[in-house]
Amino acid sequence: MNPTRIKGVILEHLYHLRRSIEDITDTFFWPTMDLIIWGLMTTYFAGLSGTLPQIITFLIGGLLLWNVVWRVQQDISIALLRDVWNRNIINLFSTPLSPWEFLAGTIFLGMIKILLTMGLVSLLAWILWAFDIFRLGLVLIPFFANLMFFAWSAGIVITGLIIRFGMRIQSFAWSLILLAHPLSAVFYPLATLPPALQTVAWFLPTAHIFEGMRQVLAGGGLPGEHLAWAMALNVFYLAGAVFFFNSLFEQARVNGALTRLAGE
Amino acid sequence: MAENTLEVSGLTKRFGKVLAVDHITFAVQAGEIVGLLGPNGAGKTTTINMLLGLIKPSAGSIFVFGKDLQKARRGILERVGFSSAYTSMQSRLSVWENLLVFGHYYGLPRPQEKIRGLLSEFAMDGLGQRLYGALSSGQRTRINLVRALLHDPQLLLLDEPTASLDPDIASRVRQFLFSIRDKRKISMLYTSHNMEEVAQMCDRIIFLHHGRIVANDTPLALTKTIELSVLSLRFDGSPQAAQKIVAEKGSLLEIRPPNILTAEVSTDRIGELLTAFAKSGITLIEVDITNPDLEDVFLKFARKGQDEPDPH
Repeated sequence: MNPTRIKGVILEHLYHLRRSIEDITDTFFWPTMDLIIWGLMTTYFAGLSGTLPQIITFLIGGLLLWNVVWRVQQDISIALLRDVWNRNIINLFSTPLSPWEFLAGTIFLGMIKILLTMGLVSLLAWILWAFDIFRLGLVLIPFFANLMFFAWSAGIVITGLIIRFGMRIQSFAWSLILLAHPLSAVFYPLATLPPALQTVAWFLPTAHIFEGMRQVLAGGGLPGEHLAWAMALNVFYLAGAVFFFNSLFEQARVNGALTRLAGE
Repeated sequence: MAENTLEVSGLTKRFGKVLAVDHITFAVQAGEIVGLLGPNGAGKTTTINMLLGLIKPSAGSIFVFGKDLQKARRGILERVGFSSAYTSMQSRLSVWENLLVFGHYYGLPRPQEKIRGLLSEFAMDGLGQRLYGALSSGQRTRINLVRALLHDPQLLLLDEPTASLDPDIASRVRQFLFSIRDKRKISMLYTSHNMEEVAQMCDRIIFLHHGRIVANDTPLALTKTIELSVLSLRFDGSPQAAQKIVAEKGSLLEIRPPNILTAEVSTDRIGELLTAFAKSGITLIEVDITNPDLEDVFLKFARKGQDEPDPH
């Protein structure tokens, strides 16, 4: 890993961010709108049932933390697409830049952007619904880290799939992660899922984090077991993602899919 | 013997049932400019992509600067520049930003001075702040070349490097490429559809057809493989008599009023033909001889390939 080359990736996409309305919309506008719409809806429904404060905190907490998974994964995969859309992909990989340096740059960039997004949305949540994300305390750090690790794994795998199978699956960059959304039980307790799906959900680090988040917000103390499971699963998924990406990238070099990306 | 910058041996690429590159072997010496020509689908792009390590060969070896590309790809790419008229850069980044980014990709922590110098060399000083997406195709071609030269490469892989350039700028680019070749002994592998440019630029030309090398020689030697010249005559006399002379010495292509005749004649029989006209009493008013050039060589190989079934 060469830090100068990683810096190049970060610079490329930061320069782009400055001039891209789509990027600015993705980073600030959609999360803000999500927060406002879900916040208002929850206020209405919760008002009907009379359990307002608890539900609002669960929902807004879930919304804020799900943004970490969604945005970080998307930033990794869309960075590659942006180079394909601009017919820059051959130029990129004809330099000594390795795919892992490229991914490291996009991961770092994703961290910068999610901090900006979270900063804005957390501030709005506090202003509009008096929801203080920092009520979660120091446990917010491992929550945040685990969600980001999972997003990295997903982003790496999705990027590898696009390199291997081409632009016909480009929509995976912004859609595939949503498969994990219902199973992660972001807005409701995991027990809400049918029993079979609950078993599957326990294999997702995100499900442990959102269960843990609800435990903390309900005053149930530190969710040590959930955090341990999330961490262990993340180590497994990250290792798998690295292996899977290497294999997909190599296949793309063998069957010419990497260079075909330039013409798609 | 000169040191080889690039050595390709038995290079083969098969995509399923399609044999795109078929056991090609060639070398490029230090300071040599080699043209890689062939009709569409001949295997040029696949070969260049294999030389960049973007496509993995099915068989054969590629050694660049004496190192195996499969084992030392990244170290090799630090000394290789690539420019293609068919790629672009980030359209929403300025020219300067794009070049700065690529400077970093080549591992240059402070490429600013180099960028300034190259922009000036390619007459693009004022365009640094312009968005890449707002450039004309000719300007983009020049910026692509600047990008390929940022890290002072020792081997340049150039795919249509002067496409879309006006003649003045194209000439300037060629002069620059010659000058860096002379100063730094840079080797170049060059593809272009501009045969005049290839003849002017390249020390040697490799013709690919159906993935195979069908010719590998200097432009002059390749041109000499075409034995026929095209002769155009304006004459005063009997058209029938003129046709008869041409039919004996070559083959008539066209005769049109007022007494203009075009014929294909073996280059070494042109003298005989003109003497026959002189003896027949036909007065030649104008004689124009078009000698074969690289385009004729290209057409010869391309047509030869059309007549033959694809061996794969």
